[in-house]
Amino acid sequence: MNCQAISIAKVVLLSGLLLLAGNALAQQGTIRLEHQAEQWETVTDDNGAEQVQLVKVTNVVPGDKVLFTVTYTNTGDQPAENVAITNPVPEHMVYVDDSAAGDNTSILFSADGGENFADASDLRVSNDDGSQRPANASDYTHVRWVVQSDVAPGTSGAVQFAAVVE
Amino acid sequence: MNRKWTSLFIALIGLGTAPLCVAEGTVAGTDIDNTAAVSYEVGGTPQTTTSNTLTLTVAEVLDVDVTLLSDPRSVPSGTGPHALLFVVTNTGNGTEGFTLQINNAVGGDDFDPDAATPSAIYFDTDGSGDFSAGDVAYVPGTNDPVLAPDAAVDILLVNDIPVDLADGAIGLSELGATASTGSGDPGDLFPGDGDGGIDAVVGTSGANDATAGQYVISDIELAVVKSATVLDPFGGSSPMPGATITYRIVITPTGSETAVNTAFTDAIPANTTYSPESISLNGSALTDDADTDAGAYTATPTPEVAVDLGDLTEASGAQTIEFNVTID
Repeated sequence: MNCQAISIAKVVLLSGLLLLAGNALAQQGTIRLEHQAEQWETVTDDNGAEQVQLVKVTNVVPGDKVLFTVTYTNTGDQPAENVAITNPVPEHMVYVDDSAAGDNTSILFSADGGENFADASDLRVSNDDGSQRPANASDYTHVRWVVQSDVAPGTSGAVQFAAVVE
Repeated sequence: MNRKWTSLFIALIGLGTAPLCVAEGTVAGTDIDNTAAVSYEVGGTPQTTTSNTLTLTVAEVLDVDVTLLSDPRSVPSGTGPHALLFVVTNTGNGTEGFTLQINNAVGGDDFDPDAATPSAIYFDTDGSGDFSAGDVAYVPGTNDPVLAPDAAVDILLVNDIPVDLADGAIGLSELGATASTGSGDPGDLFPGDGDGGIDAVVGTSGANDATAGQYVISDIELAVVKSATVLDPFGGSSPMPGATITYRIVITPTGSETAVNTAFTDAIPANTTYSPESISLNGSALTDDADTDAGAYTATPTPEVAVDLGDLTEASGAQTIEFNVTID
């Protein structure tokens, strides 16, 4: 069975319905964040070729993979320095290995609820017996993107990661 | 790590095509909230901002599994009712009712079992695994089983077996279960029909499943004839104290099937005593110990002779067992 087909067909039907409550105005500040969730949809064009495109999503089923994109914009008139965006891996979802991306950012992860962040290769978690092992993607609780340069007034960027509904 | 946005984006699309199957999972109606935060400094002053909160609502997945629990059931022609045991499991993520159907017109078999009347579908209410008086009949639309995610219910299909069927003939009887909310192709949507008014989506099972159980006609009869010969201490045949009785039991299989694991047991009659090491099968002596040969004598709780005859067919021919007792 192609489970992907479920989410695709559903997304096609639901793509027009956006949960308005989810789009409530973000907290004011010099940097404005906008968050969106999308899913992959495969469409067949007139030539019979399959194309994958992203559509916004508000309803999911277990097994669905969701792409979260956070867009940051400096709405002030001064450059923003040391910009770091942090997003928890939502409850009931599991981070998709190697899915975090962001132009001009270094990406860190937390496996302890956002207390400590480290590069993926350095992140470790404790076993039940107290010993430590390298963290897996499924251990990640937060993703952090550290923007490598100042964000000038009026400019914006985007970071993203994918997670699967448990 | 500095990464090119475009190349990573393509990599993510590639991930999107891999199917990921989860039988059950996050419960229908769960809201998954997600808020991002940003920290930064402007002119040396630290600031933080949070994003809008995204809410993803987990829709109800409609899925069901029907599994046969009974082994193929050996039954003689013209008998019944005989039950087959199934388990129906809600493999979706919401609380769902299921309608049940029986289908005996399944292809690929030799005969159609006759569905018992007035009801052929029963809940295995007493948990016996077989049809019994306490089991409650299923009435569509009245007592459709409503199952929580991952919950299951045992269901019996009850059939009679038609007369005059050939040995070895196979008859299939199928149990179907369908989600009450709706069924169809995976991905079919029932807007607002799920738990608490959320959307319901047909899962990989199509929100219905059907599995057949099997009846196999097994007409083998074992004719058993027992006779006794008395030898008294004086060379006569009078049943008196001290006389020996030789019991002879002849078991004759007829039919074209196999009687599997046939076991013969016979209690030593009251007021007699078993004569040690007197068991024989087809003229060969068997020891009293429960050992590698087929015979055994056990004194407790009741004195008894046992002979393991194994699998018998008509070709096995008549099996003759003998043993002796003395009159007390």
